[in-house]
Amino acid sequence: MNQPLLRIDDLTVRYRRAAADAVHGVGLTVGRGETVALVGESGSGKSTTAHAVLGLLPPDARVTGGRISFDGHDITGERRLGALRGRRIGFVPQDPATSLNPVHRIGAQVAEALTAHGLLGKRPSRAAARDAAVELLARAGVPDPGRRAAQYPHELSGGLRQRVLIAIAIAAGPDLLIADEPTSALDVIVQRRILDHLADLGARTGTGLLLVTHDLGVAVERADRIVVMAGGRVVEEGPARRIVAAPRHPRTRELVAAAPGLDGPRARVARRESAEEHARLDGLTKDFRLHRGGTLRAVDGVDLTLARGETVALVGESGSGKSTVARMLLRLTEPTAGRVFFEGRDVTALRGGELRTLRRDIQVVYQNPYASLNPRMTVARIIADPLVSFGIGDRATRRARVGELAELVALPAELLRRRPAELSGGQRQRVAIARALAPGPGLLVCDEPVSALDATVQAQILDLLADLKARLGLTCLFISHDLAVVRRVADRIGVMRHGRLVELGDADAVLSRPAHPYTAELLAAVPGRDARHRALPSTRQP
Amino acid sequence: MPPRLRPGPALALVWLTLVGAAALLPSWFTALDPLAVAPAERLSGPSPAHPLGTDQLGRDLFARVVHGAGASLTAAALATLVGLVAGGVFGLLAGFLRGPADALIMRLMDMLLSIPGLLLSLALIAVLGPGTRNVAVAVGVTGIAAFARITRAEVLRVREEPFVEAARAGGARLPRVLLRHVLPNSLGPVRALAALDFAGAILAVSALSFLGYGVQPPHPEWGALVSEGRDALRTAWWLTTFPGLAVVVTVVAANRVSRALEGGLR
Repeated sequence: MNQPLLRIDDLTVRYRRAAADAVHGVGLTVGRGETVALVGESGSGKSTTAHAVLGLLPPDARVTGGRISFDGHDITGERRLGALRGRRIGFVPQDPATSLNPVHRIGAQVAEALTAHGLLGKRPSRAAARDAAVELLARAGVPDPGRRAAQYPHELSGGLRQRVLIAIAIAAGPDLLIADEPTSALDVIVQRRILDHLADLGARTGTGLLLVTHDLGVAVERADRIVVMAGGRVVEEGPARRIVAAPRHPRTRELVAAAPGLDGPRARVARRESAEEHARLDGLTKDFRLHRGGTLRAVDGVDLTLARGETVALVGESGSGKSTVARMLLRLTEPTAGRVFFEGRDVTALRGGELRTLRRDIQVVYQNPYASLNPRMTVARIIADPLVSFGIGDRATRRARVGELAELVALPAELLRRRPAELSGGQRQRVAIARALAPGPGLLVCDEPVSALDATVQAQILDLLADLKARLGLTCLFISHDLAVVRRVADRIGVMRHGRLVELGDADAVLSRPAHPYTAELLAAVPGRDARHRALPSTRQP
Repeated sequence: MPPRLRPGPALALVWLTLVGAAALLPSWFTALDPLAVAPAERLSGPSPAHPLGTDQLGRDLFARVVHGAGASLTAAALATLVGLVAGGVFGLLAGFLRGPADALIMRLMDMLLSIPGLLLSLALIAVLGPGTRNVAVAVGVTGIAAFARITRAEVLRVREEPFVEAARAGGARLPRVLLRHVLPNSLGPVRALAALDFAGAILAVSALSFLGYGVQPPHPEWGALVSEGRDALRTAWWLTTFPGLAVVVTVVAANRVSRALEGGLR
């Protein structure tokens, strides 16, 4: 059995009306029981390659050359792969929030994967379908599968939904699983559990796994071999360890350098903080009213002091209350209890004109640069918007200020006349940062500023933030779920869980000697950590 | 980004452009005076001299239809504008302020919606008196509720967008948030509704003119023309048919454009 399970030769895919091929001359193989990671930035063609194998290309894309063979059969360009798809090739889609039908129960959706292939006989009884679904959910690692099968998708967390998708993908006992960014929407801890489970399934059943991911850390930790794509081509291929230890292609080197791990240089610059208090949160608490009655305590008595010029990071999984803390500091959400102090003044109850004056000093950069910029305004007007709102300067001085700000965030001047849709994610986040800096704030709140960006772009934006902080002496509250990102920028780290600040300390101390068990769990879940340590002992920081 | 033009919407646009041009510059289309009476040529059928025939007083019907376009379209456009502006303001306020203001405004809109449109228009004309402008206002008022509802729905969607919060964090006052950030991003479906409403307004204005509340004789207007032609329905079919066709084709064209706008936005 030397024949690989999946073999792609010289695959070329082109979108109608596109100037260039989306995928060009791509070749790769996946053997039985082997895990191959397909790594690249967004737009590198990795998802298009995966979709071509599944025959799930969008209608305006076409396979224009090459061959895809599965278990010796040519399946190139077929759109009706019904017999293979789901039956012998399983697919785990990217977004667990939208990949399940919201109006059907979990159990029915899992059972459908079986009945669609006639695996339960001609006319399966309801009870048989239900039992089979529950059994599959259990195999996919869903706790309490009997109860979950009777629930609807919205009642499940993101991690659970992803397991349901895995249950559907493995329903028919496929020989090959294709997982497209299966964990990029999830927290690190959940991500680790899902990946552990996929690895376990592969080891037990000998299923081949093609793992599509932008995260080199995940790839190194989980894959036997890594195929690196850039600009629609395969630029490098090899055993996982070798790729990180000795990358040959410059694009691979970029990816390796940008991968946020827990080693490598920290972009943090010399501290400029003083003992002077810049902002203080005192016993901050926020309750949300639930639809079914009752309240949810999202933030529970958080005390936090930001000294002038320091960067404090708040880390935690989604729902831990970290963003709500940021929004209360920004005075965009009213606290249920507790007080917010800024420059020694109690600003908890400021309204109207006084609140607007406060907002000149506290600015925010949001997570999603695709949604935080008004799509109908040009970049220049977006950056100038706070200046107009605060009535700073006249038309000419504003234009000059916009030019300065663009330069400050390294945004090319010719982009100023464009609209956000014409910019890349990294460029948009630079626009958002320039807008936040426009009124000259002393305190910048960054709410997951890089989590929507690719690793290489992430590194650039983090460098920019560190540089700006040093040049402008900004105080920064940095919200993130990713410890690897946080360690590059933070002076101090606060760890949040269930609305409480469970640990707060110097960044180095928290990262090397976590005091709270939850912090230790978060640290252990950062992908690629062990593999990189083993592969790159020389670069480890003392 | 302009929607890709298919033949249907393209033809519709051409027709609307022609009708618009006729409304603005009727003398480009016909040299004849729509009010010139010629008893000798009364009730003659379509002929090279009078392509659409003449009426009971021998006036050229083509000239009257062309000159009538202005009155019909102005009234319909004004009616749409009244609905768009008033409905837009109500919808914007209701959607952005929420709470009691939302409840009050939307219940008022529901009341407005519960009265049949033509009945409401007639009641308003009874109060305001006849005349082109009053007809336009009376028709416009019936459109307010629909505009308010669709604007509100869009505003509810847009107000949750991070860029609206970013504008607030950037120090923008409420009017600026509404006018610069919320409104421009809420107008897509509103535009499509405006084209649809325009079609309905042409019909409603013509109906009211038919009943004699709009343009006063001897000035031509499409609905009024149909009404005048009704007296000679048995002998002179062209008097009702051609003005009626002008109304129908224009309404269908406006509908097509509305659908193209809606599709282009998806």
